[in-house]
Amino acid sequence: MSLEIKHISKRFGAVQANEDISFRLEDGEVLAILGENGAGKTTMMRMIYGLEAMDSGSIEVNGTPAAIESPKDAIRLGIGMVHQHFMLVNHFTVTQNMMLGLREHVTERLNLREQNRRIQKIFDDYGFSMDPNMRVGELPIGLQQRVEIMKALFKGAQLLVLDEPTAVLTPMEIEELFQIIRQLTAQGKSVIFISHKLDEVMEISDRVLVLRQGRVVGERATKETSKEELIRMMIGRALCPMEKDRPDSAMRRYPVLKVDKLCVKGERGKRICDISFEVYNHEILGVAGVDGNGQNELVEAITGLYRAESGHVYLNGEEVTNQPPRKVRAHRLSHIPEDRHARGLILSMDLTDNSILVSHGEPPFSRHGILKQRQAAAFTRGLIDSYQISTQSERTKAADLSGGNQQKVVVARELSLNPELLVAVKPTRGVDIGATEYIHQCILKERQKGKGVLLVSAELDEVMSLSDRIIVLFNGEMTGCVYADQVTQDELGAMMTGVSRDFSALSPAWEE
Amino acid sequence: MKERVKQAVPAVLVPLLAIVSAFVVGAFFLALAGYDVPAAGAAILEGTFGSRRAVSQMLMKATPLMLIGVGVAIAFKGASFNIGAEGQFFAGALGVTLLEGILRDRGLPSWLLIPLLLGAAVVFGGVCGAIPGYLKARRGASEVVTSVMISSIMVLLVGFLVNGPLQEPNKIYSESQEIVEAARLPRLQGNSNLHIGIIIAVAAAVLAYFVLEKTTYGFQIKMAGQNALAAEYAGVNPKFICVSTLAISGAISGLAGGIEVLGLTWKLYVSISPGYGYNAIAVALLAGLNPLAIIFSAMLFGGLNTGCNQMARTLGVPSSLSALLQALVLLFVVAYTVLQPQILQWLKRGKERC
Repeated sequence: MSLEIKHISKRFGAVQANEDISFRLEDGEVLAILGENGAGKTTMMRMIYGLEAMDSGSIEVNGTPAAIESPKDAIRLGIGMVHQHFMLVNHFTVTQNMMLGLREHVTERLNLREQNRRIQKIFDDYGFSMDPNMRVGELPIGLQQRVEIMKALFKGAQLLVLDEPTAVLTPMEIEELFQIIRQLTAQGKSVIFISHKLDEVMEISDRVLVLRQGRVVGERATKETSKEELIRMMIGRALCPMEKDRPDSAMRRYPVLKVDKLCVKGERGKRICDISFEVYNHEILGVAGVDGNGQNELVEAITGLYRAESGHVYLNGEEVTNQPPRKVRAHRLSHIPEDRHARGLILSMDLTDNSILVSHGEPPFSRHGILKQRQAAAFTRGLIDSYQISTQSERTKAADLSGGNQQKVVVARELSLNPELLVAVKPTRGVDIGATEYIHQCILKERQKGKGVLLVSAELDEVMSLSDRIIVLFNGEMTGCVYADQVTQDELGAMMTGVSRDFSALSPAWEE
Repeated sequence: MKERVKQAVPAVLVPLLAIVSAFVVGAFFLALAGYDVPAAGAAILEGTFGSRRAVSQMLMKATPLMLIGVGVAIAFKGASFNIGAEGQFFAGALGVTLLEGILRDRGLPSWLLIPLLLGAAVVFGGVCGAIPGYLKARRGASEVVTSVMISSIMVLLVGFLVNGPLQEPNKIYSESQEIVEAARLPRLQGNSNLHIGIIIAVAAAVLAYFVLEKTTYGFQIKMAGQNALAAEYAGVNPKFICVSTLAISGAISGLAGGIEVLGLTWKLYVSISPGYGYNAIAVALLAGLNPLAIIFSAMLFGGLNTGCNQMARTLGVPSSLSALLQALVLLFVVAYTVLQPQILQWLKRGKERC
């Protein structure tokens, strides 16, 4: 199916979300739409799917003008959308979910057997083996996404809009998703692939459209462009190269964090066992591993959020095993949590409150139990300035900030505590390139200042480029401890899947 | 400042809308039953503001609602739904009665006796609040269920006691012996029964506002209430917040019960509360859980009660119909509180269209 967008504009209050956007999508084509958070990608897709009315402009489907006023119109025209956050009913089965919103049967009795047969046929066509009677809530994220895609196809989608589809997937699931996309385009269906991950865009798309501040800043055939050029278009400049200094060999080295034979019994029967490692000053220790192999349990046990079964955790030589988070933090530990919405921020509170979340009980933010709002506000304005957080004011609610800026608030708060050890878990998750670069530099600066950093991330690039040493977790066990500059992605991959083990880096590199 | 004003507009607008809707529907029922609607409205106003007597009556009714409302609001802010305020109110009333029974012959002066007795009310109510809090923090039991169960226990316990061990000496009425003169709260006006309880209630509301908005403890309550995981991460113990807010909530409700006995009824009996503990939840919701706003929403509900009684008297409206009117306000308040986001959006869209 072909789609043509002509001069679309959309304004929300003072913000011009989209301005004069035009592009074309051909049969069987994958068009990637790249852009930083807030560049206007999602707004545009919402207009194409009829969730948002456009201020001006028009849309043509297969050469004829189309009025899309609601998702109903979009579906009728053959446009399907897979949202970033799935629109599935967890308690329903796969079949029930796929039949949701079917219009033709409103007055008739549902012919369940017939529908089941049609669903099974779609599954078969795409080589998708799954019991359609499973409850969606019990499926892994990757399969839930598959159900969303199948749902769109079941409703007759000829054009599929995928909004940041890989953000929640493991590398294997991403590969499977790409298989499906290739299969779709081979049948002449078109795909709009929204992302800010360049590697994926380079791999899967035929053409790339780059948005910045609501405007189209460039359009390229994927074959004729490079990552560097795309980055320049996205953020308006080239990325600064990351520089890591070699520590002075005369410097005294000591472990800031020592984890000794730690065992944790996590939720849902998961456990980590017998984990031992040290993070030295002036060092970034990366933790690599496929999500769910014990990273969470490890971090929560270190930070006091979860009980350790046995073993010990020392911060600067003092034991903090199983102490409450407040006491652990008193040993100058800062923690950038994995999920900024669940733990890192209180979205319903404003930036000032979020900035003093941890230190509200200490001067200058309070005295004798009375909060000093003025000091807190001044402090927050300082953070906004020095971390370039874009917000209307220090009284703006955290929920009203973009993901990247929310993350900057968390990073700013945790670093302002002047930690000896920084525990950073997926510090750039869902953050755009500009902010990612900035946060990486902040983490490197901590190392420069001689602090210790424990960096947990699912993205190998991030772990490998920032870390001095890397430990690998597989199935709750440590399968490796290596120097970051002496290991390849493939070797790490082998340790991450438990195929090989390598413990060649139990002390910081310079000692040799 | 401008932002604050902007935030305050819906906080005032939505409750107002609730009240207006309730009166419109109420007027419909009154008209249906053949009563003169304007006269009824006049009677309600007359019964609320018409005379000194009416005003003092209104304030008297507002006192327990205000206190309990503040207590409920504190728990709600910490995301604990204290539905058992009714029982905590009874516990406070019981505490006062028990301790008064012990101390009545000691001849203690008022300035010592009254604080002691109210202290007992606070402790009794506080314990009744702390138990569901502890069960929630320790065992994960829903405080909605446990607080209501404990509430039932307290109401039934009082019912038993005033027919048994605590019954007045003549054993005729189902009530306790009248308290000694020294234990009675001072009156504000000689000829009405308005007592200093209203001052205590207003003071409690102001204090609660200060604690919630200006202290670290209040900040922690809001943290735990809005995102317990984040609070834990930041070093606050959500379990402590849970137990302590429910205990404080219970203590304030208990204080309301104690004040009711010392100031108004002078004795304990089962009908001492016409459901203050439940109505106060609506009072707190109408005020958007803001303790200062609770002062006014409690007066509104108090006035509604006295006003409807006046209407029933002057127009001969059956009491069930006046109860219906009060229930309507409650219903609309709850409905509008739940629907507040949608209503605001709807208002906003209307504005954009203009």
